[in-house]
Amino acid sequence: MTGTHTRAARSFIGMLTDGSLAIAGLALLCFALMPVLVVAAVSVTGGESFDIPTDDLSLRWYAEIVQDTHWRTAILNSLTIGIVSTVFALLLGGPAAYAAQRYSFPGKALVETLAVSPLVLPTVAIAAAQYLVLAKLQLNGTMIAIIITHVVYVMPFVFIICGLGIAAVDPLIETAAFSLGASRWTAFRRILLPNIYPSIISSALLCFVSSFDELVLALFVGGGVQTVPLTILGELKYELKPTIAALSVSLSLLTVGLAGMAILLMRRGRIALSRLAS
Amino acid sequence: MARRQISSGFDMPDNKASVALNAPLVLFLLLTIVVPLGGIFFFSLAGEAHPFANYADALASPAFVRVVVTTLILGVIVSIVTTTFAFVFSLWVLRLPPRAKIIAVGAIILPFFVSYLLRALSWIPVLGFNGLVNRILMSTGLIETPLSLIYNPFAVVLGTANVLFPIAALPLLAAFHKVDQRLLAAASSLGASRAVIFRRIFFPLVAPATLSTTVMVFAVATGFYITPSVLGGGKVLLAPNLIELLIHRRGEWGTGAALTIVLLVVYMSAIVLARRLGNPSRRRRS
Repeated sequence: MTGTHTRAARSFIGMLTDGSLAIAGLALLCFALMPVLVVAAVSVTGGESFDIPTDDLSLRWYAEIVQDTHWRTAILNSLTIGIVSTVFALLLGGPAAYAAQRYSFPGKALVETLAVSPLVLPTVAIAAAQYLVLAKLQLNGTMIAIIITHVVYVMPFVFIICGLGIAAVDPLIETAAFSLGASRWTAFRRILLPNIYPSIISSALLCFVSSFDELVLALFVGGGVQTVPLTILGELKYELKPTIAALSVSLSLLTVGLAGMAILLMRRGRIALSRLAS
Repeated sequence: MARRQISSGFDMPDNKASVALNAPLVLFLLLTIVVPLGGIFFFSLAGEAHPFANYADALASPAFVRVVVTTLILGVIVSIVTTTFAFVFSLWVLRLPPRAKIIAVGAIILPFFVSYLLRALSWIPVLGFNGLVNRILMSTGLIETPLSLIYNPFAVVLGTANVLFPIAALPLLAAFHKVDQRLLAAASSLGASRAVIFRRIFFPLVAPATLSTTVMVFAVATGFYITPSVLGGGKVLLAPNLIELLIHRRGEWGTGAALTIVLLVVYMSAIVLARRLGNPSRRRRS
């Protein structure tokens, strides 16, 4: 019978496409994960060069991170830049995120576009533009210059994530606090802050990691200041060591750990909130 | 009016409060984004002979034009390769059971935790002279001498596609999941083969999102600096690398500024186009 024949042929073709789709999907998954796997493999190599280990494994490159003085300086610089940039990004982006969620005012769309523009525009263009201004101010080559550019670079994360957090808090709770005579500061400290601290923590985390990994802005305005990515770039020119892989894995584990903690905090925050509602 | 639920706590009217809350950020961004971008536009027009001298100089230089053309061509190749990869991957994920779906999506987000620089560098142990691919090919006896797989346009395309893969896959996955499965089931029950269902029902439904993703990937790829400078090995010069070379290392601010403006115009047009393609309803209304 031709009917069953074609149906059989069809299901055969179906199985064939299912099979090839699964193979392609798995191959693409490997392709996507390759950098993660390679960096993890290189970080435990027993050899001397930035390579996938062939025979012996060792953890000495993790020890090298703290022992090598020029890595220590670079990490200290990147930590300082990351923390200071994050604090300023929170102080500048937080209030603006609140205004964007709670008020309507003339030019709101413009302010919002401006606030997310550093995330949208190509970093090289921003870096080139900021380099010219910072050169006029003779600030290039200082840590202050890197911090200024990084505050701009990471601030959109605060504006977006804290904005989402603020939007999720019922404005009526604040209105109630105001009507009971709470000052703005009290309402912020006692009502808003406890409700949005998970968003603050997750945006701060994202800000810090983005600043720590940022290369292009630091390359333009940083001059001789050695940050971690700039040190890696310098090393690339003569000899690449597995230390950077170990450093990257450590930073990733730290981020995943902190992000996990932030998610847990967020869950607990939600529980506290639901208790408040009941 | 929808947002004015809070009658401000004290005697501070809404407008004053929003000005006070916005002022620090707006002032800061005016000084660090608006003024610098205005400045670079000004520099690009400050040619010695006439306002457009920098642009004319740039157009007259074959090296400069070659860099812009290479950037555009590689951008197109990267966007097609990346979107094709992401499309096939999303098709596969769509059919997976829910638990496997979460694992697959989680896995492609994992590379975000590794910096751009390290993700570019990770191709050296794979494609390099003594890399994994060459070692495998040599040991199987397929080749006698190692192939040069890195520091060429191929490596740049592969590295950039790798970084942009999750960025393309996430919107495509969202679009694929929005397709009403009942439409596909109805077509199947009416006797349509899988090829016909894909071609006549599924693909037309996801085509706008696919096109918008392709254009978005193109835009982002044209602004990439790190991946091409590491994997191009100085041999593949793209617009962002030339901007860095001109402005930062050579101090040729005029032509550098002109190139930055060209890059920004290409980038912004592509982003606007991607948004338009992604929202066909908005286009119809206007």
